[in-house]
Amino acid sequence: MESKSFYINGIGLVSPQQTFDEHYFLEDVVDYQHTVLSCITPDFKQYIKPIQLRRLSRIQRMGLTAAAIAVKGTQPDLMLGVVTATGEGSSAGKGAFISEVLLQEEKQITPTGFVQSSYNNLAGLVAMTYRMMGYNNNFVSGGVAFETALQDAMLQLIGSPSQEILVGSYDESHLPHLELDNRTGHYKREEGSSLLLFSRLTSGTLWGEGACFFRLSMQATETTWCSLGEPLVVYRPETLDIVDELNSFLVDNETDISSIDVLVSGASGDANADKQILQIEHALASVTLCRFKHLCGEYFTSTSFAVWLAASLLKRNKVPASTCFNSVRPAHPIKKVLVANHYRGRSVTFILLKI
Amino acid sequence: MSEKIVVTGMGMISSLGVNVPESYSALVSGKTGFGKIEILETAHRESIPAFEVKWTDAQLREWAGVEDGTGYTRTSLLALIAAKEAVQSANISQVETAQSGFISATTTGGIRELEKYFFEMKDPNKSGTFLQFADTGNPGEHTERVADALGLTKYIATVSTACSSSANCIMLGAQLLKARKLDRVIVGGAEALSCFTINGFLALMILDKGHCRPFDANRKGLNLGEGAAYLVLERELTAMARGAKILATLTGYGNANDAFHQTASSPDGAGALRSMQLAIVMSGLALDDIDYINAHGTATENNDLSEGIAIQKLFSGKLPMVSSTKPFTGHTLAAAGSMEAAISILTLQHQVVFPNLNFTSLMPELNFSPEVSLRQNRSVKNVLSNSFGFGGNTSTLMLSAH
Repeated sequence: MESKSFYINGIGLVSPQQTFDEHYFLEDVVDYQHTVLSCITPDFKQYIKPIQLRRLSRIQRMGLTAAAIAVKGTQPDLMLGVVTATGEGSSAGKGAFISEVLLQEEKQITPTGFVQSSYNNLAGLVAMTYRMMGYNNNFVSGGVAFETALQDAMLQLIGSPSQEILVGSYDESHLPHLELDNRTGHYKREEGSSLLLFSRLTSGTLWGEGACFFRLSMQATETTWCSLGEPLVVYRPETLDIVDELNSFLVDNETDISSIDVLVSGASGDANADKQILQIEHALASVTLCRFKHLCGEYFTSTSFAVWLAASLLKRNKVPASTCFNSVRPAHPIKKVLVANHYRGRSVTFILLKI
Repeated sequence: MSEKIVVTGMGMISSLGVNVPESYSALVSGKTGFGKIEILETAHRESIPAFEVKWTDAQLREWAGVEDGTGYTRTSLLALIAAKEAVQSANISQVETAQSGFISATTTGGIRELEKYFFEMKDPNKSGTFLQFADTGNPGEHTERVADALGLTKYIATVSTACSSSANCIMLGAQLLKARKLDRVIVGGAEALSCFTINGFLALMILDKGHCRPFDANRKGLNLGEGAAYLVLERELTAMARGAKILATLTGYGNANDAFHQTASSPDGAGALRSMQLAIVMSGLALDDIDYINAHGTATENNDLSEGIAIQKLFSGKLPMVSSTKPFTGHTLAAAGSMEAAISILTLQHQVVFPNLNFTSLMPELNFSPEVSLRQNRSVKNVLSNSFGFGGNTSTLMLSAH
């Protein structure tokens, strides 16, 4: 089945690097010494009205800022709608509300944490802020939440091809919950340099976070960054030959491995989880390799960071040294970027971006 | 011209019963699931009634056929039981099941277990059987758990738009079928009661301490419920080719946003009106063709006003029958949309409209009353089913007799 093309016309990303700044492209990156990476946030007042700002939690502010950057210069109320994704919602809000309920033995509970941890909170907040009365949906599909939101946004665009749609994601790391979230050993237990993530020999990865919005359409506009194909999600990849899956994905996108200029790989530094992704890196050994989880950490919706990186590589036609993990010089210009991400090895995602 | 989407299977577990036949016999005999909380451990057992599935997790594990059931949250168990019934009623083979997509909704997922073991989980020095729930706190987990149990890998997604969640799963499933991304899809939602939701809604002051009274002038709020419901959707031609029994047609759907307030609906019902209009336009039906509205009707001050005004505006004088079945099932949050879709299908199958219990006085803002007693032998061909959620999301389904 032939894959349809979509265009990214605007992106806003708040992440553990200074990505909210449109002039910045991972030149000076922050090296974290802890397992939990937190977002670098802008002066929210530049993006959110003060009356609204004071009522919002940290993750709501980050999410709404990402949306504000993505819709800058447009009329969001004329868009088709907004689709969001999150793996866990507001970790801080949820944790605070559960603690309050338990510690106060269900007495005199305030609703703030409850409302803030509603998983579709951001979809509602963005719709309300920008008077977007159209399509509204929110996905919480674990490690493929962003992918399923993207698929839904694309379905909606196919139904209304002349409009734009906003699709975004958010997830929050929360230091007080590291122990809670690390019972399964997914995160590193020792301190150490995040930038050296891939040289550390211990198991586990870093816990990251981010909020990101993309403005998509089916027609290129003056502000188009690049084109974006439909994602392929391979669930439970351990039972399949992942390189076969990749090849059939590329056939559907009318391309092949030799035409890919850059691979954006979601290697997480955790050898157990990275098995399939390393097979993909190996199959694309002659392609420029970029990694990103040493910059933003691992989180349910990290594919949004990968798509931002891939779109930025195409738009700026340059590969930041901080992301480069092999010595293959990138083609000039960069025309095709493959995103291959995974979440804890339970699913692998492929997305193709082109100029 | 896109093809018709039909419903070929359904499954449901709630306080009314463990399957669709039990649910139907409760609905038709006026037996509700309202009562005291007996299974969930909460400080509010004496003061806050709810619609609880009166089965322990161990009993549910047995019913679901996963006796060892390690790592199954209550949400997952409810989901698996209803999804299995849906697959069985669709009469599809194991291979056909494996090729199906699976879209499930929840607003809490494993929060019931997370809150139960929260402090133990946070203390790395503690260990025990609770560790089976170390990785079940995220809402998408139940979908993967059920998908793994049924052998589904093709397309797995979890939706959470508060109280409209599973209506959105049904809509998405239909769109994936129309776009030919899938040939068959299991869609619905699951929700277990938790202290998290009880205290959340209590803090918002929208829980009735008595039995809820949708559309009544003296309504005092909603009652929470738990359960799960799933439908199997196919394109009409696919279903007919395999000789499937078609339960109903999904003739229309609409999704919009009220863009008014995070936890309240607009007083003019703008979002509700828009989603109903979208569903009707897609169905190609006239207003006169609609026989019954299964309302969202939560019995909160705000919802019933907003929804009632929207219904009144849309039908201007010539109203179809209206009822909220929440006094039977409680508000099962993310499961409500698919549960009420299942109830709407029962209405179409049996030509019977279930009553809006506990209604006595007309709301001053409205000029219509819901159906207060069981309406049998009515010609019901088209049913609108509304689901609205926090965050302003409004979703409407149109289900029609095939």
